[in-house]
Amino acid sequence: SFSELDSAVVNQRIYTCYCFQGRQGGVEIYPWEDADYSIYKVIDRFGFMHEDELPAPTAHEEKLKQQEIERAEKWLKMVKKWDKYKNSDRMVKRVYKGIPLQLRGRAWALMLDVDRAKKENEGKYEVFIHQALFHVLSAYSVYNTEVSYCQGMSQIAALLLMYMNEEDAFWALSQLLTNQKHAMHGFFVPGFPKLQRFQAHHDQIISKLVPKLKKHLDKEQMSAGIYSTKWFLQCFIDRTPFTLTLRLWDIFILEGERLLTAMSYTILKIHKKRLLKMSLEELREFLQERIAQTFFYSDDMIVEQLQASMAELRKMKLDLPPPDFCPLCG
Amino acid sequence: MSESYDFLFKFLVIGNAGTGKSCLLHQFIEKRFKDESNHTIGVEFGSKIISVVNKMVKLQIWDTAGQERFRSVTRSYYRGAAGALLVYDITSRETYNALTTWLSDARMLASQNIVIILCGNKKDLDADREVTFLEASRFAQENELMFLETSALTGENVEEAFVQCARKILNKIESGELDPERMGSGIQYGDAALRQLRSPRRAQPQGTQECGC
Repeated sequence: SFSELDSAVVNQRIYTCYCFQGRQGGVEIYPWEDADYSIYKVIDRFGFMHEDELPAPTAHEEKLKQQEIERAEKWLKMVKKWDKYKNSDRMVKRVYKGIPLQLRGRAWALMLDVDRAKKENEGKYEVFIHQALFHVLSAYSVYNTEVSYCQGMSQIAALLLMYMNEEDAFWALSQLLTNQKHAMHGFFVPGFPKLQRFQAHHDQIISKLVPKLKKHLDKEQMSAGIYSTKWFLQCFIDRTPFTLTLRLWDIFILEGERLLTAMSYTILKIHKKRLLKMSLEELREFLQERIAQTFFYSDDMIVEQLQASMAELRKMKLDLPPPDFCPLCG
Repeated sequence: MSESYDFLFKFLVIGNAGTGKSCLLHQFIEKRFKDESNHTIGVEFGSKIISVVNKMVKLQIWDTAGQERFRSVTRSYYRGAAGALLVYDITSRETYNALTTWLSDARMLASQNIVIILCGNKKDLDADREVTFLEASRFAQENELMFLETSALTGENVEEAFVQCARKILNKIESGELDPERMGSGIQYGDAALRQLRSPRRAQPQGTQECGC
């Protein structure tokens, strides 16, 4: 599960540091230096540890791997000429297909303009680091004192750290919180104003588009506050299978907050028939645990459905909640 | 799955961040320690049916985020809770000092009659203790709380905490001090209880009719 992330990141580092030293005569090989060490057989391609040795890849998995290699070549060309490809139809299409694992960090950094943020703030990161003991989050809490540290940010930072170095992860977090497209700042400041706004909007969407389900949820007293808080605050980390989480994050980084609105609606829409038969406890188990294990459909199929929802909501002008009402300007 | 029970009680688990609220809930429901626990975001809940003095009681337990910032969100789930576990960490005085605030929140927002058990968690870390048993039991007495020291790690006193709290609520129902039918009592009748009420044996009691006075 995602909570193992920290140790997975560390393990990945141990792996890359120690397992390439070879077996020359006389060299003492520590277990963790041995590529045959059982621990490496229980770490999957994302760096997660499993209890049992992993099964050999299936034909389907082999095919996906081959596909990813081909995609990686295309991505490699694209990141080299980023200015040319940036926001082009071809690039957008490739994000929706899923960014190849090896290039995910680089692509996220490019889409979030991490290099520009870094350049504009040259030298600042080193200062925060010294004040804040080498930690992305504590560094961030010194940098953005209004948000400071809020529970929930740690898992976002951990996800970024899987694909980026510490400094890039710091600036990526900073961009996610403050740029216009993502503006996650409002999700984490005291009072959670943006969370309230998105949950109210989510309720409106499901009242209009899946009214029967909304009535059922109301009857069972299953409110958006219960099931959707993690969806909005952490963009589906821990609430969807990890491979799907990554696909959603690719699109979230590209498209911004409209992904949150559309995916929340998509989850309920896809599983509507099942949900209509469930009691409060069953709803909780399903929305918070079961679909985090398996989503019943392939990731590609979910992304297709998501795109359909995005188009549907945009057409109805429901893709984003109305802006904050400002008491000063009316 | 047998879903038959006599009563449903709504419970809360409250207290500062990092005191082990989610781990207590997990230990109670799953009977094992959750060693890769994350911060709770907003609220979570779980439920379990237990047997208390010949009654099947379903506990619906609401587990809340402890961080101060989430209080504005979690408070809206307090309404109508019949019981609560108020949790502090015996190795952290700070979490103990916060108890008064949690207590007044619970009594104000849940119900005046809410039955609360104080839980000094992490009992297994006795070497790092910052709050003595005696001090906490005095606090419990002064504030009319039940009190146990618990360990979500070993499971010690975890089941007991939930059961004792549920037992006290049942006693209050039987003595008439608590009325399950009152709005916001946090108590509902289950199917089993309703069946019993409908059964002819109960509907037409043998013996002569007695009036309530």
